[in-house]
Amino acid sequence: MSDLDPQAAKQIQAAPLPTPGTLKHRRNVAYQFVRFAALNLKMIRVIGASH
Amino acid sequence: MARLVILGAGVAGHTAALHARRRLGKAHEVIVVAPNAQWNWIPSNIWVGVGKMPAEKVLFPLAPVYRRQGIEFHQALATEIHPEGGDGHDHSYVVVRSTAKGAEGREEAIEYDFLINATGPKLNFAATKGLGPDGYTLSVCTAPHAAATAGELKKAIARLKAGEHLRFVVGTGHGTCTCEGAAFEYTFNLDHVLREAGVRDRAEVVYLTNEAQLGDFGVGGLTFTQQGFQTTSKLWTESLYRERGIQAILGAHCTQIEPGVVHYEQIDGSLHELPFDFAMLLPPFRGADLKAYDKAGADISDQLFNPAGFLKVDANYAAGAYENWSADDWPKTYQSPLYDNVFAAGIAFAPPHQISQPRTSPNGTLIAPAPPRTGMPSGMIAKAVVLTIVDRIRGGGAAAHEAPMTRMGAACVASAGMSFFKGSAAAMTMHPVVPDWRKYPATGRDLKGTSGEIGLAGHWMKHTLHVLFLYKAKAHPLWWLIPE
Ligand SMILES: Cc1cc2nc3c(=O)[nH]c(=O)nc-3n(C[C@H](O)[C@H](O)[C@H](O)COP(=O)(O)OP(=O)(O)OC[C@H]3O[C@@H](n4cnc5c(N)ncnc54)[C@H](O)[C@@H]3O)c2cc1C
Repeated sequence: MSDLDPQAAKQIQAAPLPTPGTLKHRRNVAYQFVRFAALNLKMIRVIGASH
Repeated sequence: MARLVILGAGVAGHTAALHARRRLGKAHEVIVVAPNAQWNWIPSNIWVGVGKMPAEKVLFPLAPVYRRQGIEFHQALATEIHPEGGDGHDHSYVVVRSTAKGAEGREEAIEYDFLINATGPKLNFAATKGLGPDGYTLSVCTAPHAAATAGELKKAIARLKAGEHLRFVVGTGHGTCTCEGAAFEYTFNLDHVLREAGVRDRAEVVYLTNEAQLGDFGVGGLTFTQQGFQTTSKLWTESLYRERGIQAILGAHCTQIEPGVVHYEQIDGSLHELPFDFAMLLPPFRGADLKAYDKAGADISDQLFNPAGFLKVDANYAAGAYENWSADDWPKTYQSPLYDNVFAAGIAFAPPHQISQPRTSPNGTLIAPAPPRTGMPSGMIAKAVVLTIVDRIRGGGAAAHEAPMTRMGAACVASAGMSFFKGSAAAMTMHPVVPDWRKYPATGRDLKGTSGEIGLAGHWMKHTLHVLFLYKAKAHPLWWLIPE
């Protein structure tokens, strides 16, 4: 990483790096379909709590 | 018969107009004044700006929708509010200047019984010398800006393909900008298209922001649970920057843009220059250029609006220092304290203060993300204001409807790449938008309503929202079933 903002670069370097498995999960259509349903429920919950 | 006049036809104004028309009988008039002939689904401008969507897909003409709904549309810019009437008018009225083809500049007075100011933001590129499409940087705030940005990106990709190495800078063009979420989205969509084009290794992508920490998003960041742990949007966002190899410059206030160079100051007072080949920097927002006059014609703009031009409502504007801020400072009814038939909705209302902690550099420069008023709160505020007005028109003495951002949640889906199978987005929910530390002492928000998740599902959600909100805005059958 560069020295444009050394403090920010240090923080980014210290952040957890997703494993190849996690990245695969994030693109796995079947798994993401389940997450899509879960995301919809979360949104409905937030909308319900707001109205 | 009552007449409701709505200034602005964006998320807030258009939502207000459709709900008002649906709930008020034909005996009452709903009038919309807005300078643009087209409605724009602004969140999808990000995809237009990376060349993934044509501008026509985020725009549609307003006039046919309003004609069908029985809403009177004036394609014009509101310039003056006269809440007490005057100059021959017994009634309150607004002055508007036409922007319609063939009638440009023609002025007209429109009387009202109720007024909603939903004029959104004025894109204040002038706050930083050289910022914006008339200067040396690009924007995605309007569909034409986004289309022009896509054109420049195409040229940059051609240069990368020819073997050049280029620096892309994306972020906020002033220390008091809001909408960091949009800058974040553009950064990751840019990364995505550069990878697709096979030129990412020759591109340096830098996110330049006024946020003191990544993941602040102008709301002071979020805490949520993930796999049995409490985590923060800071760590979560930093992880994404690490994964995609994107650099960040934090706590930055752009002081000036010159051709190919951003000058900026950081919170520690240090001054820097950053050369760039391509820069998309968002402007800070101001209120629309509206003036207000009393019956005698005296200028009362400074009473109706705050210094940035946003309409003052039922908020506590005297909270003072950050330590004294409370959830109670935030408005509930969005009614003007001076005129009970004047309301604001969406970005047009004056917030009491920031949500994120403001900071000042040793040189006295304020570096403070302004509070975001995103689509969902803007629509919900508009609907609450309309319900209040409808009650009053019907003669009920009912209390005003409330939509405080301290009780309201928001769903923010930040696209990180557009593709049906290879796309990605960071989907966040927060409840409430403005933290209430008395109610939720641990994290300021309800952990059950606050979440963050990255993946393809987020992209599908973002695309679903694009389809649903355009459907709703076109007032197609059963549009009102789609929540704000
Ligand atoms: C690039 C970008 C991406 C975004 N992405 C998201 C997102 O993913 N999710 C989200 O929730 N929010 C997003 N937002 C924020 C969202 O666009 C705003 O919250 C929303 O548009 C605010 O609605 P509004 O009605 O207050 O303002 P606007 O939608 O801007 O509407 C203002 C209206 O007032 C009109 N107007 C201006 N001046 C006058 C005048 N003098 N007289 C009459 N009319 C006038 C304008 O022409 C316009 O019709 C994004 C914003 C940007 C810039």
